[in-house]
Amino acid sequence: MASGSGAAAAAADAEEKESGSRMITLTSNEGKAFVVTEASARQSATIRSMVDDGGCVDKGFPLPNVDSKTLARVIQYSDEHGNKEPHTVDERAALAKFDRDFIAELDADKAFLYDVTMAANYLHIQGLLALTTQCVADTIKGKTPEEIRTAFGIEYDLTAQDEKEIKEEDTHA
Amino acid sequence: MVSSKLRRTPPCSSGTKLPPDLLFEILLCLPDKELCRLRVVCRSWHALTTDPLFIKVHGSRHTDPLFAATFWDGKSNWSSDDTTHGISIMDITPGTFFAGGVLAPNYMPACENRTPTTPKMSFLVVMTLDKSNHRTWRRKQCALVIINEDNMGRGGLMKNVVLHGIVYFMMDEDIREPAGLVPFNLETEEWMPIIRGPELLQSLVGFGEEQLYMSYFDLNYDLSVANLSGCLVTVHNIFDYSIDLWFLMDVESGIWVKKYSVGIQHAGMFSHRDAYPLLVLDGGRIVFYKPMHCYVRYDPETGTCKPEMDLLQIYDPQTNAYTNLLEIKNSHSCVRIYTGSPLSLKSG
Repeated sequence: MASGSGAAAAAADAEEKESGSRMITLTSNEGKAFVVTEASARQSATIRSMVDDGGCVDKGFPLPNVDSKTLARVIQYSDEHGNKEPHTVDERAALAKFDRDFIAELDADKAFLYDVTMAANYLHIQGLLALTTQCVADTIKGKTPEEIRTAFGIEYDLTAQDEKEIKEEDTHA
Repeated sequence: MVSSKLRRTPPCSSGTKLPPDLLFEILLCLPDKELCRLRVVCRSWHALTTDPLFIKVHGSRHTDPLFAATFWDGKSNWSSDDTTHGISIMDITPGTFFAGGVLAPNYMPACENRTPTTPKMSFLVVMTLDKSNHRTWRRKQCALVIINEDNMGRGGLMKNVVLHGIVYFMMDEDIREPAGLVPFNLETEEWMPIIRGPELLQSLVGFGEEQLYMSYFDLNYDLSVANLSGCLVTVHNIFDYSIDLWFLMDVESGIWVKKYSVGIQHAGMFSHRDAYPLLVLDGGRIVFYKPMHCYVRYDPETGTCKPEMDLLQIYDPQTNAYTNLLEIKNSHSCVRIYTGSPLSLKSG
């Protein structure tokens, strides 16, 4: 058992070294193929675990929940974060600036922001998820409950009595 | 294998429902106050923001200090049945009390002494909340005469403090143990052995030139007990001079160390008198609660007198100066640090 796991670790090491050169194909729900470096694809915990489980790499990964426009934007993020590891203060600052510009652009198009957020959640890209959920949360801040229902297509399912009770529960005059 | 991991959910587009796990992530980013306000969006938002797991994760992400203040409606006295009173929770945004209701479980012990014929007999009343938010009060007999109505102390409940499930009561004017603390374990509801106060304080009482106080009664008036960074602290407000903070470094051996002696020269008139430390921030800065409502300020424009507002102030030891953090409405007092989550508060 010990030698077995040692061998697996060695194989994982070799794979790690190789990962810069391997390419992986991701396919959007519209059938469009995107070829990315493994380092970029590994930003997604979902894909990472499938790659590490073995197989699949040659066949590529169909992503039935992500459209081409959204996938292209997600790849823009994971390329930036996966292909370049920041070492210096300047590099880290450049990456932070990339994130700021990236999210500012998404923030201007809310519908697209929600799509990218859902894709980040679906693909488990932690950095992108943190970035986008914070941005969505910032949009929620200060909105009335009614505005939020409209923005997220939420059905109002509380009775007047429910609403009164909830309000009484949470605040005092 | 692929299809099991890349589970199928409806394709993304605006207007569609957010998946519950994503909603969880988004709502975690919002501050307590927003979440309380947005519970009326729909059933699922209400369910999520009142869920104990959500509240726990949210609390670990949002660690900004929250303050608790007691409030009452002021229509009748504190103890009568028709008075609304409880705890308000506030953050440091000016003037925003956003959650409230009854006390968190075992949060505040109350004291009473209603047996005048046997003055040696005192009771501690413990309030607990069960899971259905139902309050029950139980009496525990005191081992010693340590508590009387005066124990409510200066500006509020500053003569006792809760730390790790134990309430520490500062002993009143007891000559045998000046500034001593009597611990009461809230879980077992039992009294524990007395912790002696800083020895140096005792030497301040007497009739010599060096001695600040003529009696233990005078000394006691200037003392309170606090919890700073999980440490018991004896607070000694020396009139017109300084606020000394004695930290109990080791409970077993009873070693007290004076870590701060905060000068009061910049504190402003009166305000240092009852100053009480709540929190140590980075750089050794301290948040002080200054109950000011007993003082009035004359307003020359209207020709009337108004009570001063209680203050939260930050003291910076580098500059020896205070800056205002928050002014507190006059219906509130006894400000302390709140360690629970306002999301789990309900009015009762």
